[in-house]
This record gives sequence, structure tokens and C-alpha cells, in this order.
Amino acid sequence: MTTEPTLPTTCEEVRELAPDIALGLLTGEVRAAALAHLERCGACRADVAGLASAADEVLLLAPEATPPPGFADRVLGRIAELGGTEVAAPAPAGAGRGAGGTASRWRRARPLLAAAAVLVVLAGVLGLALARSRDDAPATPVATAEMQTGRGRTVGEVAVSGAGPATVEVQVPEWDALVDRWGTGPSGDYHVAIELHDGTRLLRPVPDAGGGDAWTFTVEAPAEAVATVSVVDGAGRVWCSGRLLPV
Amino acid sequence: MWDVSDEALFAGFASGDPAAAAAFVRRLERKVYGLALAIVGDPGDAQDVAQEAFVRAWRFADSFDERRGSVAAWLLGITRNSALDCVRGRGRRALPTAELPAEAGADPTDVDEVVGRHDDASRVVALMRELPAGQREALAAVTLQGLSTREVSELTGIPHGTVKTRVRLALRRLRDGLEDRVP
Ligand SMILES: [Zn+2]
Repeated sequence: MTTEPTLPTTCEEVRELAPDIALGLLTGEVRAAALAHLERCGACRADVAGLASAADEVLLLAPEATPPPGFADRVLGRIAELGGTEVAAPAPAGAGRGAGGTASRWRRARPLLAAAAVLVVLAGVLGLALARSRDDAPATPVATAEMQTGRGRTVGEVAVSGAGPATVEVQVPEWDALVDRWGTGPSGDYHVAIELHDGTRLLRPVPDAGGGDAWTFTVEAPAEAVATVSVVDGAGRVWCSGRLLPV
Repeated sequence: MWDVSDEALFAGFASGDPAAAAAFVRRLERKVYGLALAIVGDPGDAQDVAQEAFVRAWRFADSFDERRGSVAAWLLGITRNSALDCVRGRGRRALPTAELPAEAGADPTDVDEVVGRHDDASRVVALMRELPAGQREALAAVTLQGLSTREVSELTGIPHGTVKTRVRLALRRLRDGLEDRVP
């Protein structure tokens, strides 16, 4: 029998808990410790990912139920809203429609997802906005990166500044829109993982819902020491990640 | 009408094709809403959860990896997470008073019925059927009802440690079985 308060640190300890991680059953510091291990251990991460996929398969056995009338239209309308454009109602026979006769596309680019050329400027603006609650002048970013998903889609940005402690500023546009409806919801399930060049990994919880889609963290190291910044979910899956490049 | 795979519709949904998106949502809404309802209990909350699941699936479409399983299973995983967020967000809910259901095929008759209802789930049904009953019920309660192992223990009177062990064993066996059968 294992005693619960022991924090998992070794592969063996994490493997024992892997099903619990995959099922989202862990809480508090046990989960934080497990996630920290997953962040640096690909083998355990793969184990958990396989178990999570198996758990998803079980869900295919759930009873089906008919949602209220208009459900699909509300979903599509909400997504169109988030995409920033009006989505066409599904056209007969699947043909595209729209004002110009072309298929209406949801614009997936977010307002802040800038081209690399303007990223530096943008990060400066971002730093200013993020510093609003602090009385010091906005720091100049030392390094920045786009936060990208595994398939290379840009979903946010990260900038680091300061000679130590460094300030790490992460912005994932529309994050708040995803979680605000849940009140005390899922933000506790998400962490920002900050990896330093020396291999140190720091795990910080994403602020509570209502904390916006821009987060600031302090790291006891110079900004140059920060290598990558990622957002990971409760199962240790990396949702997006950015490798910092000097400005 | 849409004689295409879930995965093909999902690709259209992710890339913003309105017709494919509508077909994708309509094809999977009963599964998504059904699972949401099973976990949160309240139809209004279930609708919010189901909508949120589709929005998250769209938002994080890039994280879907078809080598790991079907898009339906992936979407239901997102649905379960959304439902758990909802349940946890409103504090500890009342536990179901009824006994744990025999869902997920506690007996072979039910399994056959389940297979009939969910043709794409036949592999997992077969594997669930091979599990000892205690393991199968514990795993079903945690996944399909969104219960914690402690809640399962309180409902069934089975010691918490035993429930945890059963869930872990069940999920590992299932995973091993699924991976064996994937080419
Ligand atoms: Zn490990």
C-alpha cells in the first residue's frame, strides 16, 4: 500500500499514479508534483497519454441523449463569434455561400497573433499592458516567442525580461473566454511550465478564471536563462509551447 | 447524407468549413450531450458543458492525434473534462442516490446492447467485458459518471484503496488491450 501524502518524484512513483493522472483524479500538490515529473520525463508522459486515450475510448459507451432544439446552431454561432466572423448557416448540398458567393471561412488568426517582424514591438506593448498593476516601468523584453501547438499553430505569445528575478509574461488570447463560464473552473488544471537552460523546470498554476488571458510570473533567474515556456493541462499534455529567442 | 468519416468532418470543422462543421456537430451532439448529462445531471448545465466541449475541440483542434484514437473518443474526453470542471466549479455535488448503473456492460446482455448502439466502440466493449466485474464497474463509474474514487467508495462501501487499485488495474488492462490491437 502506498501512503497518499508522499509526493511522487521518481518514474516508479509516477507510473503507479499514471492512471489517476490520466483520469484527472489527482489534486493539489500530488498532482503538481506528478505534472512536474511529466514535464521532464517523456517516457512517463507517453505512459499517461496512452492511458488517457484508453480512458477516452471508454466514454464511447456513455448513454446518448438528444440535446435541446437549436443546440447545434448555438454551438456553431458561438464558434463563429470566437472566430471573429459571421459564419454562414450550413448551405444546402454543402456548397459554400456568402455575400460574394465564396464559402464563408472562420477567421482563425487572433488579433494579437502578429507576424514575427512586429513581434518585438508587440511584446513591448504587451509588457506595458501587463505591467499595469505594478508601479515599475515596463521592462524591455530580452527574449520572446510565439506559443505554438504541436502542429505549429500560433495561439499566443511569451516574453521574458529582467536581469533576475526575471518576469515571464504569457498571453494566450481568448483563454479567459474559454474558462470564465466555469467560475472556479478549470484554471487549476492548467499550469505554465518554465524551463531554464540549465534544465530546471518550474511549474506555475495558471491564474484563476477572471485573471485574464495574460499572465505574469516571476522567476529567480535572469531572463536569458529561460529556454522554453509551455502551457500544460491536467494530464500533463502540452497544449502550446514557445522556445525563446533573443530580441 | 454525409457519408464521410468523423475525422474528415472534424478536419473541416477545425479549418472553418461551415457545412462540415454543422455536420460534425450534428453527428456527435447526442454523444457529447449524453455524456455531459450523465456527469452533471442537470440538462441546462449539460447543454453548457456540451457547447463548451465543442468550442474547446475547435480551439484545440491541433492537439488531436489520430494515431491515439478516434476523434469521437477525443471529443468525449474533452467533454468529460468540461463536465468535471462544471461539477467542481459549483462545489461538491450531491452524489447519485441510486446504485451505480450497469452501464458499460456489467453483464453480457448489456454488452450486446451496447455494441449494437455503438458500433465504433466494439473493441472497448470487448475489452471491458474481459475485466473482472469490480474493475469494470469502478472504471465505468469514474469515467462515465465522473465520480472520484472516494465517491465510488462512499457509494459502494468498498474501501477507497481497493477502488483506486481496481481503477488503475482496469485502465492499464484496457490500454494494453487497445494498443495490442492497433496495427
Ligand atoms: Zn518518469
